[in-house]
Amino acid sequence: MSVDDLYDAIIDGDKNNAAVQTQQALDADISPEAILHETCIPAMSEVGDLFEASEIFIPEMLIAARAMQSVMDILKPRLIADGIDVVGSIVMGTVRGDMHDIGKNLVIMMLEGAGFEVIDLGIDVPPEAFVEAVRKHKPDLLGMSALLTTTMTEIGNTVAALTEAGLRDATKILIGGAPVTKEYADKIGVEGFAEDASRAARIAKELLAIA
Amino acid sequence: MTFSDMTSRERVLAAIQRQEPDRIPTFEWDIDPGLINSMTGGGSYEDFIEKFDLDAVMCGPDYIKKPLDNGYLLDEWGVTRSIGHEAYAMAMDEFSPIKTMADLEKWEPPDPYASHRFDTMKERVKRFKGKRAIFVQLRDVWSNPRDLIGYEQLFMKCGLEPDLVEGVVEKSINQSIKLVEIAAELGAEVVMSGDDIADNRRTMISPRMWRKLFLPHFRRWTQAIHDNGLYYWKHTDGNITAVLDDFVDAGIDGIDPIDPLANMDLATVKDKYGDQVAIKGNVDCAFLLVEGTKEEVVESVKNCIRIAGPGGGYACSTSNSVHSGVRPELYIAMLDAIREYGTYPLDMDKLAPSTITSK
Repeated sequence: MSVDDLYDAIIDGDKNNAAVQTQQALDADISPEAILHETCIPAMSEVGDLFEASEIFIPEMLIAARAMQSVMDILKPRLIADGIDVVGSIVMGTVRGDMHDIGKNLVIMMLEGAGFEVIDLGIDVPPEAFVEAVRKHKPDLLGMSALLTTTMTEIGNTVAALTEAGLRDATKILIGGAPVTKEYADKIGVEGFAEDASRAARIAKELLAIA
Repeated sequence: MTFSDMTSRERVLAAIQRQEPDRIPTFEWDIDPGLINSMTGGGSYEDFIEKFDLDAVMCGPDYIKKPLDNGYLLDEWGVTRSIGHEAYAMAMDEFSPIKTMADLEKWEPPDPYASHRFDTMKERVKRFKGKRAIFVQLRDVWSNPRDLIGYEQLFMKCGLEPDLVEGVVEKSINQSIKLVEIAAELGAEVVMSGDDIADNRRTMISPRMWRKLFLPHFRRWTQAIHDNGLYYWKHTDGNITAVLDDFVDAGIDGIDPIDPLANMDLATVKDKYGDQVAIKGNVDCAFLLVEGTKEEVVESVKNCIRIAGPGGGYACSTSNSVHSGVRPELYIAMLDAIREYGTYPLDMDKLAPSTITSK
């Protein structure tokens, strides 16, 4: 069965085989939506579980995400053509003054693997750019990352800027990064905190009540 | 010589030999330039060391960073960097100089003998040699490959092109060994390297991958430090529980900073490794030294000393660095407490925890 092979190819990070298996599944008249929801998203979810269980680490997760990407390159035009909606949208960025992008990128890969549309604002993102992006894209979620104790306060500043712009209730907020804790998330009144990339994807789904 | 005659240098060297000095030494991996400026009234790093009587001085090779038209900086390693909030300039992955084996073969490290290479160190050695311990900060197996290959690409290539990764690690360590040789001749006594291979929960790559690609070179590097007559005090953030045995077996002399943010526990490390390595740490600088009270800081110092002080082999410090968010008065309270409570023989009654009533 090619979809089982596809599932394994994603977890093993075999991007060439993942592309081949995707094409075979499409040729066998399996719908792009079914391939995404019944094979690819569960595969990436297992990648997340393996990561949380310390069975795989960042290299294996990145390589799996790369295989997932090769599948999405094939599926995406078909999904759009079929009018299939994404599970949710999220604006992501590393806060002002912080140049770290690896953690944020891992979160993005796991979110995309979970079927989210991600708008990546990059690194060193000032509060006003987050506000503007929320206004423009009307995302279901806003994700912020900070790796430094000194830049973590920019998360709070961004939340304040959203409140000031009257947009705080327009989106739910999910935060993470090395110094960020649940206590800090509670203190600044944001809905979600995630310890790592795979949990971020899970918590994003929980926040939007997606099974 | 009585113990009270100990210089800062002797105090640190006694600690790294796992002995009890006259009192517990204190020194820092890194101190924010802005705080140096404000806390010394416009003085230098050297002035800060002297004013706050830190027992060790950090030195390292100097590299020229050339401004580029795109606003970034190009360093002598061929790495493009951008300046963020901290003085530290992050390497930009998209411009990483080594992407293929052909790139690696062509790539040459910066000339370790360049005339400017150790200017800062020479000055600091001149000012502090014999008085304070001279540390040289160099890189071990992770940070140079990360910057040369790019962070994300390094992770990918660990899985997909391990030969390339190992080639970069080998060339990086060969370079670091040359720098150790030169630094030893110039008067360095202890090497400190701060390559981080762990996040708050665990190593970022599997321990198996670490042992295959990186550990052999880490061992070679540790041996080279000792061959040059220096001690090695390894600094690393994150939860390193899974690889601490590897560091200790490789022969490191000290470990720093036992990162509390990553649930590293001072008592566990002292208990398990205290007879093999010296320990430095770990007054929390993520929250306590940023937003705590003086009383809480004093209690934390007492707690650290109570746990890691007995028997010596301990230096008390922040849990990472005196970064830009640290409040000067809290750092000073930490230093005062180390001096008040850290004199040997330790007074365990005085070190008993007090109840803090006010916040």
